[in-house]
Order: sequence, then structure tokens, then C-alpha cells
Amino acid sequence: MIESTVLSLGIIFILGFFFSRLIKKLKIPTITAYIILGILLSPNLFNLISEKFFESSGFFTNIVLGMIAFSLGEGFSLRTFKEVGKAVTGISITASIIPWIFVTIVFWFVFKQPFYIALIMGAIASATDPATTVAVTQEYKSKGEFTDTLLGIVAIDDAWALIIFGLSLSLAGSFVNGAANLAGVYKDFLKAFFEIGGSILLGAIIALLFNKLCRFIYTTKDRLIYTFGFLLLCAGSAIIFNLSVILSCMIFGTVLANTNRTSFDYFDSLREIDAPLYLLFFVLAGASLKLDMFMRVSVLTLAFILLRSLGKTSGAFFGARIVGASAAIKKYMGLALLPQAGVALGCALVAKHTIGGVWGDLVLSVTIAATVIFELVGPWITKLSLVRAGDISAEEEQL
Amino acid sequence: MQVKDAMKKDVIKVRRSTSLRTLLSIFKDFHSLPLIPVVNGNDRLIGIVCSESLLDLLRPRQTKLFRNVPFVEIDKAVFDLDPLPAMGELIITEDIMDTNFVVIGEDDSLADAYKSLQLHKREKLPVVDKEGRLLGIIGIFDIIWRMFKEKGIV
Repeated sequence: MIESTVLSLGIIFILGFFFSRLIKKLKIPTITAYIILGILLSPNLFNLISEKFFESSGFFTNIVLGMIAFSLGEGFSLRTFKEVGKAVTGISITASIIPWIFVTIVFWFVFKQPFYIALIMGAIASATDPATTVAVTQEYKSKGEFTDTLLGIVAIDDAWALIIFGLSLSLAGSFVNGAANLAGVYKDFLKAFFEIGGSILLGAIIALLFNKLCRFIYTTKDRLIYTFGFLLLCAGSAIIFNLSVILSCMIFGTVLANTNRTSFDYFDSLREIDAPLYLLFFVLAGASLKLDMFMRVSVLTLAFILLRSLGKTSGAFFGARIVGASAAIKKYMGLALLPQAGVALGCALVAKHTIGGVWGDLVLSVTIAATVIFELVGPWITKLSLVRAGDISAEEEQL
Repeated sequence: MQVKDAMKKDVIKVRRSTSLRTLLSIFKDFHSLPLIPVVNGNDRLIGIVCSESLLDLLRPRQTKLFRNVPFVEIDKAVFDLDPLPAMGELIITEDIMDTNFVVIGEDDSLADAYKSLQLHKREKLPVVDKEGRLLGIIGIFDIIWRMFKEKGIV
């Protein structure tokens, strides 16, 4: 077993690089490759990297999810909403909220899970996988109204998912000890409300401060240091004040995208360093999995998969009905939205570190198991929906 | 030395209603596509068109849509779409212009202009007055020319 942190990092990066090359040949998404590598390296299997290294990674997951939230916040600009249109926005909202409600209610009432666990699992159910969806539409040269709507939805729905998760985690944090009476519940709600409001305020203040001081940037290197510095300032302040890292970083990104004319340069600069951080993030997610827990949560995992599928199909159906979309969109959009990956895992990893203990392991195990299944079956279902909607031609389908 | 001393004042500009076909025919004989400013009736700069804006028309729509979404790898191929001939008239400048652009003031120093070009990785920048009206365009070569002239080389 390797005890050195520096050597552990080196091995993770190099193995991550070659492993993703190898597994790409099998047409498995890169993120799944990183998770499998994490499972292989963990104390559960080959025990190559010390447990101490994986356990000390809580702060790192916060930084990376802050980065993901910041990037997705950029998508919440008036320009994006104008580009995707009202119909797509409408469907993306219902297709994110309804799975959240479905999973939360059934996990709470039927499976008797604590309310805060049900809430977090519900929020994780909202996330999708834009990368896989885009890959499927590109591979089969899918074209048409259904494809356009689908791509519009997956371009913004992970941002909704992250907002829902941020809200749920704030609520969950307040309910974790379980109030004994009505006054206690009221107090919990008030606490969550302050956490959410505070996070929004923090993100907005950081963005305004960012705009105020950015004239001191002289070079592209300055810009990267400045942007990364402000992102850490935002995430760090959120941690210090017990606010939501996700919500504050996302609002930081959104306010920046809507108020700064050259905001795209700042978002682009972070993209230069995000690849190794994301690699490490997903390897850690895989390594954090407790394999014994994996077996014990099979019923919950199955329930999560079914409820999420039901939530996505009915959510997309209702949304499509409200905005008056075509019959094909009403029928098949929910199915096309089934793949799930990066954001769901990121949320589960943060939930694990926030909640801790056996409940934290439960959230992560269910999410990883469900994600692996959604990643294997999801792309095939997305393709099927595109074929049924008539957006993939017969000859492309044969490929 | 200020930007107004080095900038090009004769600038070809278009309106937001200019069709794609007209736009392409105006610039077809240029060595390379210059920065095209888009102005409104009061000469205020409202957008810019560059090669990237035109390439976006040949790329799948998702290239632009997913640029901010983590983990998405977009194939930036530009030969997969089959644009219809009617696009020439149906698409107008407003549909393709970039409204998020960097500008420089006429009174800014040449050093500032150079810094801005480097920082934003641009070849040229539009020059505007305090009200945002377009006055000219400044590029790396304008600065180089001015410096050579200053030293008596040209």
C-alpha cells in the first residue's frame, strides 16, 4: 500500500489516463472508467492507495463540486434561456422536480428512510447526463424537433438538479437531528431558509467584488489565478459561514455571466485546469464506495431506478403537456433523459461527506450502483426514444 | 500615445438586419475575414461578427449550447450539417452576431490596447466613445505600424 500522498496522486493520474484510454475502446464513458478505477484502487480491492488518503478528501470534493456549480451557473444566463426557449425550459423544470418529489415521498413513506435521506436521494434523481446524451445524438446523427428539445433540456437540467440538491442539502442539514415538535420543525425551516438566502447573497456579493477588482488582471495567467482564487473564496466563505457551497458557487457563476461582458473568458480559463480535478473527483467517488454496503442496498437501488424512471417520464410528460409540445416529446422525452452520471455522483459524494456515517455510505452506494446501471442501459434507451420519435434514420439505426 | 492615434477609422459595418448572403458577399474578396462591427441607427455598437460566428452556423447547435456544461466533449466538426440555400436570406446578422464582446476606448493608451488584445486573445478590437458609438477598429498591426512610424522606420 502506498502511504505517500504525492505518489498516490501521481499513480491516480497516470492510471486514470491509461485506464480511460483502454475503456473508451469498450464504449464506456470516461466518468464510469474513473469510478471503476477508484473501486479497483480502494482498500476494498487491490488496496493500492491508503485509506487515509481517501478519507482526507472531503475538502477536495467541495472544491470540485463548487467548480461544477460555478460552470453550470454560467448556463443560467438570459442568453441561454432565450436560446433554448420557453418550451424546453418548462419541460426541464418539471422533469427535474417530479423525480425529486417521487423518490422523496416513496423513500420516506414506503421505505421508511429518514426524511433528510429521502430528500437527498430525491434530489440526486433529478440529475441527468448531458455528455452521454450528446454522444448518442452525435453517434447516430439524430436530427429533428425531438433532438433539439432533448439537447436543450440536458444543457440546462443539471443546473436545476444542482439547485434542487443545494436546497435539499440545506433542508437535510436542518432536519438531521429530527425536531421533536412543531416549534422545532419551524425552527429547522427557518435555519434552512437562512442558509439558502445567505448562500444566494454570498454568491452575488462575491460576483460583484469579482467585477469590481477584475481590472487589475493583466495577463491570461493572472486571469486563471484570479478566477480560481475567487472560486475558492466563495466556497471557503460558504463553509466558514455554514452556507451551501453549491448554491453560492452557482449564484456566483450566474451573476458573473449576467453582469460581466467578458465572463466567458473567466469560465474558459478554469477549463484549462478542470480535467485532472474531475479525474481525481470520480476516482475518489469510486474509492469511497463500501462494497459490503453495495450488496445491502440492492432493494433501495432498484426502487431508486424505477422511481427515477417513472419520475422522469411523468415529469417530462406533464411539462410537455403544459407547454403544448408534440406527441412524440410527451411520450418519449422522459425515457431519453434517463442516463445519469457526473452531477449525480458529485452530489452523492458531497452528501456522504456532509452526512457521514452509515447514512452517508448508503446515499453514495445507491447512487453509484444506480449510476452504473443508468450509464449502461440509459444510452440504449435514449437511442430507442430518438428512433421512436423519428429523429434517427433507419440506416443510422443499423450502425 | 492613444488608441485614436493608431486606429483605423474607415470601417465597414453592418446592421442587424443585414442578411447572411449580403454579409458574405461584402467580405468575399478580403484576405481573411476582418472583425465586422454591427451597429444600430445611432451608430452604437451592438454586436460583432467574426469567423467563429460564421463557423457556428456550420456546426451542430450543441457546440454553443454545451460550452459551459462540465464533462461534455463536443465534436467541433464543421462538415456534418447540410445548410439549406434559403439560409442566405433567412439568417440575418442579428441571429449570428456575438453580443458579448470586448471594446476599447478612444482615449485609452496603446499599451492598454495591446494588453487587452493579448488578454482576450483577439487580433482586433472595436473602438468606441463613452456613449458606446463605434469610432474605429484597432488591431495588433495598427499598433506595430504606429510604433515603426514613431521610430522613423516607415
